[in-house]
Amino acid sequence: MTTMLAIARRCALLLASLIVSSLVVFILLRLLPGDIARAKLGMFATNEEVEALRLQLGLDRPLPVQYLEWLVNAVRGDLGTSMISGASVGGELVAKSAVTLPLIAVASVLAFLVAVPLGMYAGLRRTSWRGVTVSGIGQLGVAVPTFWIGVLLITGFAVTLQWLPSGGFPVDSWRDTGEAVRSMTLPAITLALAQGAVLMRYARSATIDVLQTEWFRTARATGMSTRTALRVHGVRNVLSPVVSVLGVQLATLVVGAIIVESVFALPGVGQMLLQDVSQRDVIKVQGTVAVTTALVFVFGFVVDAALRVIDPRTRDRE
Amino acid sequence: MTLLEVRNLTVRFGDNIVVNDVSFDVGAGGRFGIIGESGSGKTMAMLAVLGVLPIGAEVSGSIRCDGVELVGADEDVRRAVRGRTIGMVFQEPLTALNPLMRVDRQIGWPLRLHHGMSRRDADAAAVEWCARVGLDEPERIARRLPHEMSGGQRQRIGLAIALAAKPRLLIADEPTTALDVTVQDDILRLLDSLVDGDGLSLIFVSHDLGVVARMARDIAVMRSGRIVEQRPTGELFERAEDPYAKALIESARRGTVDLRRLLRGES
Amino acid sequence: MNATGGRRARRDPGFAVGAVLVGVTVATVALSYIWTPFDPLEIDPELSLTGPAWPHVLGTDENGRDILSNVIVGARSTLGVAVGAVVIGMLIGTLIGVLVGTASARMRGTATFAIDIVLALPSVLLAIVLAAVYEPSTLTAIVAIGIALAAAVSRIVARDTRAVLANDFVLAARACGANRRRIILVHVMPNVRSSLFVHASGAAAVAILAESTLSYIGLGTRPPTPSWGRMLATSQQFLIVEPLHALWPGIAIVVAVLGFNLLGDGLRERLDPTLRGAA
Repeated sequence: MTTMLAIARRCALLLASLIVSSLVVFILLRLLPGDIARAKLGMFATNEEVEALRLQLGLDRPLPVQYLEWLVNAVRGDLGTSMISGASVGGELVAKSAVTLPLIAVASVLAFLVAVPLGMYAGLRRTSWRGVTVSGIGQLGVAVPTFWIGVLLITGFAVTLQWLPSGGFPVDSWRDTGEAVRSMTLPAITLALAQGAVLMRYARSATIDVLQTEWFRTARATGMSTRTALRVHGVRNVLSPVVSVLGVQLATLVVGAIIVESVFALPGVGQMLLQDVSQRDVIKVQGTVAVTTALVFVFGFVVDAALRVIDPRTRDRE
Repeated sequence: MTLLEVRNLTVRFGDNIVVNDVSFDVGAGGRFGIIGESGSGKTMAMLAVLGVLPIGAEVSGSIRCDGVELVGADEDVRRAVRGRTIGMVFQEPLTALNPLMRVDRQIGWPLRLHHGMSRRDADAAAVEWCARVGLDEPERIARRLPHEMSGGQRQRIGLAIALAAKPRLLIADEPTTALDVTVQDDILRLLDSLVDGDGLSLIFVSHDLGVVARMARDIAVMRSGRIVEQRPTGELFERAEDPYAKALIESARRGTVDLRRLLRGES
Repeated sequence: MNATGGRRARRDPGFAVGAVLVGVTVATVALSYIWTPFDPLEIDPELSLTGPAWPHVLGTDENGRDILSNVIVGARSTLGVAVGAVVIGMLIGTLIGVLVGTASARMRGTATFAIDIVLALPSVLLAIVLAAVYEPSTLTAIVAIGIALAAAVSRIVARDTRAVLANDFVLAARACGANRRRIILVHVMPNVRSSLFVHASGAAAVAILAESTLSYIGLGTRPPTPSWGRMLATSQQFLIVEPLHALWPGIAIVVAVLGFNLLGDGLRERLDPTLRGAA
């Protein structure tokens, strides 16, 4: 069946994307001038020390070999060990994901829940001052940097009102559930607001498109009120483009999470990445970025699949 | 009380006047035809009657349905007329149907809205409607999406949607123009039987004089937003006075006559 | 009869507002070279962390430096990086986009695939990776943002190019034997040219956001050169003492980004009002 073929094609494409992206990251980190061993040991290291480290890290072997070895290991789950701490890269990633993944998940859901109704409202009432105001807020929201939203929220809710912590995460992680949730609230809201502003603009534009279609007119011609018609007929047609945008926005969401973790000092993957960068732990950075981009691609794949459920026309367009 | 009374209807978009001082009546059981080329304002006039004009339209004049004034009325008043009293079927069936919704649900919504049916009952009634509008294998086709059927089938669905709420007046705006010639006749005959069967009034709008003449008992000729000629169908062909209307009739007649000559084997 | 009528081309206030905001931002950069209330780098330990008062209209930071002056001079880093990144992004992006758009179907498939991968690495992530090898600096920021912009622009330009190529006059040119280079220069470029300003405006907004984000996390302009992002990071440490300091650099960023966004949207409306654009 053609659907089987289509699915197989997409899986193959996904696999290819994963390999190519990890290769790109690998090349970026290895091929650029800036010898890794020397960078790690610093300017004052002797040549012997640098050479010894190079041998130790396997940097003397040809690049394709280095990459293939990394790839084979990565597929088996071994992303190497940190150049600084010697800890397993994979292990660190899993540990830190306990903070980052819930953050991203909650923020995405919140963003969706806020953006779609607001966007539809703004689209519906676009000629009234109400709709224009909401749309204007969205326009403003897109121009505000994520970290500023975080800082402002901290100023308001943590410093002034003192309702929530201004940063950090309980040492016991999620086992201290109450504190963990409190620590996650402002970060999740920050990320949700940032993403929500973008999604809202798409929801608004999709709603305006729906309102002007001929089939919407047909629905109204049967006696349905605009609001009912939008609720009954229009939601799916608005969701479709918004969900597809979410797929594109995934990379931005990941970056947003890195920033938010930085603002709120959350011990997640993002903060770990920034630390590794400042310490030039190339192996760890390689593993982290490769896994992150892989996840972005995989989620994009999932979103694509969800789209096909919502909008059956994409199935037949193949 | 006349079913529909239109007096001095004018529709403008800023300085652009698309319907200019149009007046006509449609009574119970009446069959009114409007003929005009694209841009003559015929569709806009119909959208004005139904109250679904695009944003930015300014309407003046009077539209009375069952004696109730619609121009300048609240949206609730205007909405009460749609579906229940007046239904409309549009020209391009592909864009007139929701691409993401099963057609039985699309037919079912007017039923749920106006007759308070449950979803299950509405789905079943929708299948009956599919059969009524002449679709083969109605149970199967009812569950399809619009892009999974032919233009003729879609237009039948469009008819079903318009008639599901059981209006007393049906406005058909170029319902066959976008269809193949072979299918057109079928749709017109279907329209005939449905209108007669339910005792509906009909307003039939088209640019094809032959088709309008076939479906309507009274015809208005529209040009640049105005009605330039309005007569019973029989009289129109003999006694038209307006030069544009006469030219239209001439070209139509020539077309029909030539075709008949051809069929008879003459040169 | 289409149902999309009624959307008249109203005088779009967005364009005017955008132009004003961008003008203010550019003027601030110009001003920074001529005059600032104080030397932004001048330390005054006695006046550490004061609030808005005369003569330091916006207050002073923890080192006694005048905030307003730092905001004014900070515009330089942000706009400097933005301009650099946008130039790189537009030049490379347009070039690749046009080449991809005029390429054969198979080449296009591969190229689009490659570009999508680069797009999956947003500029900030790219900058982080670059910073892992090089010292983070203004240059790494410009390069990273520039590459990310190039990927995004190339995709849009490729699509625009395909749209131009679909026109009949191109078919006619091909029938007359015009080669690819000629088609690009004579037909594609003039048609794509006007939308480039729209793309550039949007790219500038993205670049400013990216630059300030990088500065915030410390991967952008190095101290002591003033930078809005870094000012916000510092202000965060002293929120308890002087929360107002967190306001000014943020407002500056929003003004600049909003300005370019509105300008871009306004330009799009003017150049092709029928185009609804991406959002």
